Amino acid sequence: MSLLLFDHIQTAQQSLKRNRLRTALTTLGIAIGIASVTTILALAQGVTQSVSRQVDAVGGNVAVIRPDAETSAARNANPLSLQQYATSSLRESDLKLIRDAADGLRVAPIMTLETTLSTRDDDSTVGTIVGTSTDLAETADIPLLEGEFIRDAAPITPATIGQELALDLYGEENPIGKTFSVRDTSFVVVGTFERLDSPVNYNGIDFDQTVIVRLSDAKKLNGGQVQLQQINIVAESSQDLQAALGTIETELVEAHGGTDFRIVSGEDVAAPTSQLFTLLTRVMIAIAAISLVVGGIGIMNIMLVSVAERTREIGIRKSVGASSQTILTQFLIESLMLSLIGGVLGLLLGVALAYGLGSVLYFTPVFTGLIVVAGLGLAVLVGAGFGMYPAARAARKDPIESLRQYR
Amino acid sequence: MPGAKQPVIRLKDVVKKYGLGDAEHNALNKVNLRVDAGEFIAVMGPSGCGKTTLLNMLGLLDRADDGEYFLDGKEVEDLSDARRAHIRSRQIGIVFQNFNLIEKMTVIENVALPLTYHGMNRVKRLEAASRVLGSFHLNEREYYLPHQLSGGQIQRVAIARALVNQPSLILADEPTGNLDSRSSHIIMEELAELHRRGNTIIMVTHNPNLTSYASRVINMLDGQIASDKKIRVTAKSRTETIQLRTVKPTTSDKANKKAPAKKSSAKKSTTKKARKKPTRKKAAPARAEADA
Repeated sequence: MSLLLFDHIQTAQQSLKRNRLRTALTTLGIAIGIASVTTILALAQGVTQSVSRQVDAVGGNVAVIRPDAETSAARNANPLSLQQYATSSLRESDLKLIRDAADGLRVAPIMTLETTLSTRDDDSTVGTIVGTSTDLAETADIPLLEGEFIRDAAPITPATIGQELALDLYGEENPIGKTFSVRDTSFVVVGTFERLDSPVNYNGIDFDQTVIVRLSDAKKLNGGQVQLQQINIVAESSQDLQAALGTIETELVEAHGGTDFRIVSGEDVAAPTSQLFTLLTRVMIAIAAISLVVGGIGIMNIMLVSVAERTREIGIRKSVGASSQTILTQFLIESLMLSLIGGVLGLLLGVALAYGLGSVLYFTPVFTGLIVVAGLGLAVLVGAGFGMYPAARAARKDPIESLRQYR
Repeated sequence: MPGAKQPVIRLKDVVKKYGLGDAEHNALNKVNLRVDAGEFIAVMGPSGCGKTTLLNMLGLLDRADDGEYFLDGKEVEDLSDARRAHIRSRQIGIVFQNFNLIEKMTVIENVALPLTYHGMNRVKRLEAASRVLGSFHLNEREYYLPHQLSGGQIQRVAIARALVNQPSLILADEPTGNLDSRSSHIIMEELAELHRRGNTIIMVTHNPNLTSYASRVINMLDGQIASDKKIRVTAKSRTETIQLRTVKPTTSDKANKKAPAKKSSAKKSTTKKARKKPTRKKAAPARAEADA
């Protein structure tokens, strides 16, 4: 049988070569589908990997507590509002509770505000203010470029700012020591961090565009209200972390009178934090899948034409001893070859597209073996799925009827 | 001879129906037939008498509605399609009126096609095909496409294809129906030669002249065998046979005169016969080229 397989491949090759244009167009349909699927998967993979790299960079012993917005109906209705929790269930008092749960924990709350920052020269720009604790430096792996991270005990209101924001505010000048004001509060830039180029991370913050201030200062800006987006916890070891998380959970449940938060640790932290992101990824994969289905229909169409054109050939083959099974395999292999060629082209196209998009976006796409296998696997699936009907039609043909056909 | 050996074919009360309701009729109506190895049977009869249906049945291309069919002693009527295809690829060679070569494949690939379904590898397949084509003096046409050959040549390729799997039974459905008289005789010579080499051949034909090559003539009428005559034909007594056949009113004089003349020349060797013809018949360049 294996020898026959080789013959089928040869026959398919000849048939595909004979109708070059037709083959090329059909293949293109599949290639586009596979290319879009692989591009999206590779970009999503790139994002996930960059997040997990950040988690690894802080030792891997990270846990994140987030308000449980899953229960909110508004979340499903409007995915765009996900990051801005209307009212967070996490409170300022939780921080103390968590810090006391175990020794050696580093706890960094994250509270974000979108505001306008203005300098003395009346340059103003919109930026994100993150109110946090000094522990953020360790929990989020943000290397400093110049100056220092915010300190709790400082006579001024300190701010550590991202590279891009520094450029926006002060241009080429050294930002250290410069001031800017938000509403009526004046901040002094005490440090800048290195450019991170990772807008997607488990904190959900693009640090390049961010001002980091103390939580107490952020609270003042927000009219005395603390709105915590999440609380990062880093322990010395993963055992310590697990032990601490147990206590933290029970104490938080007690303090809140129920579970209105989520504790995420381990691998899950590395999963893209933004629900919007996952949602978009899913939608895009769905669209890519549709284009793949369209490609599959193209294969089916062309295979049906091919079967119709070759009715006589089928009759002849049957009359000299081909069984229905053999004919089925022959045509199935032809459609599989179409889709596989499309799959390989699609993968190449996908790589090009992903790197092209990656250079425009901030993250580099990552191609894992799984994506390649998934791309080719999908191609095979489409080829087999949409090739089955035409092949079955070919196999069912009655030899006598087929031989009677002209052409 | 009959009875001693196992028959190649035995049909028992074979019925094949076509049409539905009022239009239903039996294309084959309880046909009984026994064919021994080495016979050359010509099946005659008017259009619609069931000749082709019979041939399709014998070639396992069609199934009977009722009755039994033993091929080489084995019942084949109730076998699965896959088994029947397997038998077709090993025991049966079919020659069609309209040749039925695959247009897009070269001559040698066409001839090698049945061997594909034996699972034979490509090289061996092409070697075998080349050998068979050699015996038809078509070696120089191996890599031609069918449309580049003359009708007679195409049919010889088709016969080569039917032979390549060394079948126990060769079926020919009006093998000369699409050919001019000269090509027809070349083809009939080839079939006669196969018969001399011991092959069993069943040929359906309209042309009564062609029955002169057969060892047995079956006349069919309305789905039944109307007459079944054995003719003592061997290579040496062929001329006799032809004369015997002249008694029949159906044969034209012209054909009879032509046939014996050809036979005597053909007897010596196929090559010689082939060479001789163009000189006699005036210009058959394709054929001459093939033989050269």
